[in-house]
Amino acid sequence: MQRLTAITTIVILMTGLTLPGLARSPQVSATVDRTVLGSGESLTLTVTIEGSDGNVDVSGIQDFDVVSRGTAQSLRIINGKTSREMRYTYVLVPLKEGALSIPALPVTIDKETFHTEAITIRVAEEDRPAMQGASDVFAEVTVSDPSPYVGQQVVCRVSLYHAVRIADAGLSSGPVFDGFTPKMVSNDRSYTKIISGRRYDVTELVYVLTPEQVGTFEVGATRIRCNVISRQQRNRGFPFDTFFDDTRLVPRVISANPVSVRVRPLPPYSGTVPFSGLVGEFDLSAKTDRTSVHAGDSVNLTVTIKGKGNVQDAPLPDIDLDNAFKVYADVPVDDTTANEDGVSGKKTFPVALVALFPGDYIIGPFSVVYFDTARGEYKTASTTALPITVLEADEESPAAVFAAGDDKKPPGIEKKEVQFIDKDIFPLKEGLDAISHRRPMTLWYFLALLAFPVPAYAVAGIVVSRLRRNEPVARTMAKQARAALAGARPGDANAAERLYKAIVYAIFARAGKKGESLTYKEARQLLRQSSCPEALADTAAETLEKVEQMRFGGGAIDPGAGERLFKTVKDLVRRLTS
Amino acid sequence: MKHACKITAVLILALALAYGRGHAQENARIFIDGVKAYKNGEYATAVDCFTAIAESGIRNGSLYYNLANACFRAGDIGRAILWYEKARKLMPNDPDLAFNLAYAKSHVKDKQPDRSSVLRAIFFWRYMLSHDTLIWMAVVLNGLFFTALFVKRILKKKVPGLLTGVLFSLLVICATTVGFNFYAEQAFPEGVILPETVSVRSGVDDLSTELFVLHAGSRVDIQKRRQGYVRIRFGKDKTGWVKQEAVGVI
Repeated sequence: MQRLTAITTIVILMTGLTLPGLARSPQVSATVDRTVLGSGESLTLTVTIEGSDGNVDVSGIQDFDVVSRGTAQSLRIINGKTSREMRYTYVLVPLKEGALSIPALPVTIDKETFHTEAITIRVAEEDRPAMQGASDVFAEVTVSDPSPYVGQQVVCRVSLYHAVRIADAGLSSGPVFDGFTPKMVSNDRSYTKIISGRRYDVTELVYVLTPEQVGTFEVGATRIRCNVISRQQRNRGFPFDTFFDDTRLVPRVISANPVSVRVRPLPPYSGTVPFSGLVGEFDLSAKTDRTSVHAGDSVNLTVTIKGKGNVQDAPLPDIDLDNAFKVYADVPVDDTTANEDGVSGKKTFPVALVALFPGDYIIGPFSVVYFDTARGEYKTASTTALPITVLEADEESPAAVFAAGDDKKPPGIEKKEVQFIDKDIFPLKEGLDAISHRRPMTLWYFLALLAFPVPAYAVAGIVVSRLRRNEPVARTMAKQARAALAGARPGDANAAERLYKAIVYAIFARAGKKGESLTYKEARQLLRQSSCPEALADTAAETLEKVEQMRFGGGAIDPGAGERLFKTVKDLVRRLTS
Repeated sequence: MKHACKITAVLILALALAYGRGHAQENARIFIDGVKAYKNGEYATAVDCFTAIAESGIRNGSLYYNLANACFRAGDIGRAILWYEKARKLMPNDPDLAFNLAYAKSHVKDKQPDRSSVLRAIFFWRYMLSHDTLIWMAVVLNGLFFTALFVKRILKKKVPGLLTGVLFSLLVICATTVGFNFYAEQAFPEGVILPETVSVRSGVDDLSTELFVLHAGSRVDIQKRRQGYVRIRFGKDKTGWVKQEAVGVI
């Protein structure tokens, strides 16, 4: 007994140490390290939960960018009393200036919600000028051309300059390119630059922008979030203090002001060849893979547009060959790259030409009209004319005309089995269900599960049999009456026998007695004794008499009378057993 | 006295639950670290993290798959195939796993003897369904069969004989397969060669004659264990002894 008491005491003590929050109601509070700060500076918000753990919902903070800095837990034992405290720390970076609010934050503890107090923060505009060479960290946006034409490519650079060490730099918002189609050239590019005698590390994002509409736009507004690494040296006079420098991360948000870009319209065009929509500098070329061909055979024509600008938007020039050839354009091949000078490269159009009639022909020249941004005027790029001789059809290769859905292959297209270009493994399964334990089933457990239905079957059989035994006589007889009726079919040899049994069982069911046979007189007497309405007792006796006559009378039964008797018995059984 | 016993039992249960929860959270943290390390290209760290979870007793096909991926990326083909094979026992129809295993096997230097056989074709379900799935299929079919029997024999209701027959046949097939799986796991264990190269010898010491050489990832049948060695069979006719640590049991 004493030992048990001692064990109980130890367990209670341990539980008291590990689960102290059970005893006290929790308290929540929110504190900040300062209530006034400059634009781009940050503050630390600490939510403290005393006496328990809980979930803090910071989604209601709209005026700040919230970065979680982890949690801390402390356990204190003072004069034998234990207290537990959870601290959730967040760094808040203001998103605007003025009086900002940290709303009352909901904290959920054991399905109960508590709220912290709301806090007001004043964010003043930064006094320090974010000028080049004057600030440790600043950002700027530049564009290659502040007044481009619609469709002309503009290179936009978002540059982050820092003369101090920074970490975890990333875009908080932007860059904003309203009115333009942006294409990022590279993730980032780093170099060093001296400004006003100060050395800056520059990280740059480069975009190629294509203006979509005429007007003046503010381009590139960006907010960059980073941590400035600052060192705090302890100076307590110890000789080894230099070994214990503290490195601290100060969150900052750097804003890059947008640049104004005025997009000019293209001048009016009045040429005969339709304008292709290309803006930039382009060249057009064409070649065929042969100069003579039999009628019915195909020639591969390759038209290439290359240059600097929106090459990827280039359409296939109009190919008019006076019905001497059938033209099958294949999927164009886009080979363009975006770099710091903009998008350049080539677009190739493979075209299969099937010669239809013998003769000498000239393929081309083909032309495209584009807008030259350097000269500010429309220009036409053309291919050279390509002569080709079509010979008489080769008897063994008759001219073939292809239609969509045709089994025959169009010329120049060779169907091949899809092959792997390269191989690699598929990635990880990152769901946390990967650490849920799938307990293996042992052989004995499996056998026990297999054997379980056997005793269950036996027990269920016993229970059902007991229930049947204890079933009221009236219900048993009623069931038998219904079963007898269900088995009776007009015209069957034993139909009269079944009807008789159905009525007799129904009468016994009404009387609450057990039995197998009755005369109609006994039936009337039995029913009257069991307080059955006289009319019903008489009907039952009469019907029973009729059934007995049918049963023992012999001879043919009138089908109509038989049907009526069936209906009467059915109705009678229903009334007696209801 | 009874009251004290009850309190003690409740408190011990509460402590056990608190410990279990803490353990799960620790595993979750290690798992996330492992995934992060894998994404950062620190494959050795990812292997350590996933191995720590597997060694804590977690049995999960996705975890084994991740561990195999990390081993593969770290250049350990032997362990990659071992863990892929372990994962396949738990999720034999996972397409990612099938692809990765096939890809990892393509890196194995030894030509694997053809394991396909008539028996495999006949008893195809054994290789299509996991052991756990077969177990639960057998249990459910058994329950359905006895329910049909109960309805027919005890409640005296009509149950189609075909239904009872089909249920019984499927039950016999599943239960027999499960029984064979239990037996095969003990009687015919399989393993994977782990080191880059391993000498298969005629006896249980390093001085015995080197019979042939196997490379990482080769799948072998394990026949016997003796004095820190295991006798393996590769294909139909290549048998010999290798050190126990050179073979990972699937």
